[in-house]
Amino acid sequence: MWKWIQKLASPKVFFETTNKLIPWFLWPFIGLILLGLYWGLVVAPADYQQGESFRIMYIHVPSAWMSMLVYFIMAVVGGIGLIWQIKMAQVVAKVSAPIGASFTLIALATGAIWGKPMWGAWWVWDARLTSELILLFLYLAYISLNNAFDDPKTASKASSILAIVGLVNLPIIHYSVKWWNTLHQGSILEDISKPSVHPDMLWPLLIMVFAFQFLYGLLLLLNARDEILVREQNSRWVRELVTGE
Amino acid sequence: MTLAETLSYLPYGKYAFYIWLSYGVTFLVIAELFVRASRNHKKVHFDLKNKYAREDD
Amino acid sequence: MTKRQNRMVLVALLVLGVSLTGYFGIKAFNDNLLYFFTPTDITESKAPIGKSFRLGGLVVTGSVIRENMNVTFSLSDNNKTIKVSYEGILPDLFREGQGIVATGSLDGDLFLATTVLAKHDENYMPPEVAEALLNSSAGE
Repeated sequence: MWKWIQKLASPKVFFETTNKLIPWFLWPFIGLILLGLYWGLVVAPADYQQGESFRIMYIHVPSAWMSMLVYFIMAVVGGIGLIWQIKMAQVVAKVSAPIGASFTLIALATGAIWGKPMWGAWWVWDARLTSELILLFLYLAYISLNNAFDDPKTASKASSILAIVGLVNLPIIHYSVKWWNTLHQGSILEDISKPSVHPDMLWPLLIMVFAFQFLYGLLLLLNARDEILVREQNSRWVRELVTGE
Repeated sequence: MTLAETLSYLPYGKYAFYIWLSYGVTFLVIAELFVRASRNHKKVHFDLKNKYAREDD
Repeated sequence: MTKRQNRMVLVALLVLGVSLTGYFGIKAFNDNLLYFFTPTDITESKAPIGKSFRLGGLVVTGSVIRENMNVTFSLSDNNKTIKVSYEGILPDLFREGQGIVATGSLDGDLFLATTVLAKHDENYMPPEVAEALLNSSAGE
């Protein structure tokens, strides 16, 4: 196991692995997203209370969950890169940020569009919405901090520290609906064994969650392979790879 | 008549505007991620090729 | 502007954005440690009189009276009720028995609302299932 990790930490092996893995993320993503969209938008019944508008859930919930998962991965992997000086971990952390920021943006935008007809307001300053907005700012700060240094080592050092400090926001987002009286609804998976969503509506949601996870993996690979080439541009294998095309 | 009412002939009736808008926004944001990735891919290869060509001269 | 200055401006703007959000967020949390007051709070004069505040509760069944754009209804917390008057567009989820949060101020015994927001829970099910649930609970 440890040997395998060490091997993967070599830029060349990591680069070759990303290229090999791309189809293994692309095709499941396409399959799951088509299935999930069809199931969620066509097959699933309308909600007893919210009518057809609840279908926004199928993109709102996966993107909100992913916004937190990607941040978690970014901070943890960034921390690993910081402590052990593993270049490939720094690459994964860096290219994760714009993807996570986009998921956060989608969660906020679809939430606002959903809130208007249901609550009667695009935006309220309740604990859930505010903490998710802070997550977006954390991502943006991370990205610009990463771009603010010419030396990639210094850049990932500074940005990783920021990401780790910002981790404190994740439990705040998750528990905000419990700790404070929010306008936002409670968690649908409060009790995992007894989800508050009817199975006919829950299945497409789970499929969309998997689709978004493969989407993240796919975008991560696509961006990581180019980031490696830039960072390793003085190695011989990169020169041979690029000029040999 | 509001925009939401104007678009109520679409599937999902009175919520058509909100549903299509949210799915549309999501599509655009994700498409942008792929466009950026592909542009960056081309740029990296182009820049590196130039760099190596210059060094070889 | 040089590239470096550009970056510094960007970082400064971000720091400003984060702190502004933090400030407003924490201010909002503090104002709303009780996100809303209940009708019981009003009768016990715990609610701020003469100031705008949020009032939350359930819309009492049979209490909704609509006259043109003006709506009056009673809001209950299953203990005390208070009459609310509101002029404007109501959210789609506004209905009898629904939980709502109204912002406004007290005028004597009447709560004059400036906005009415609906709060929904995390339960999602098809209408038939909801009906079956209602019937089975009524039959018990």
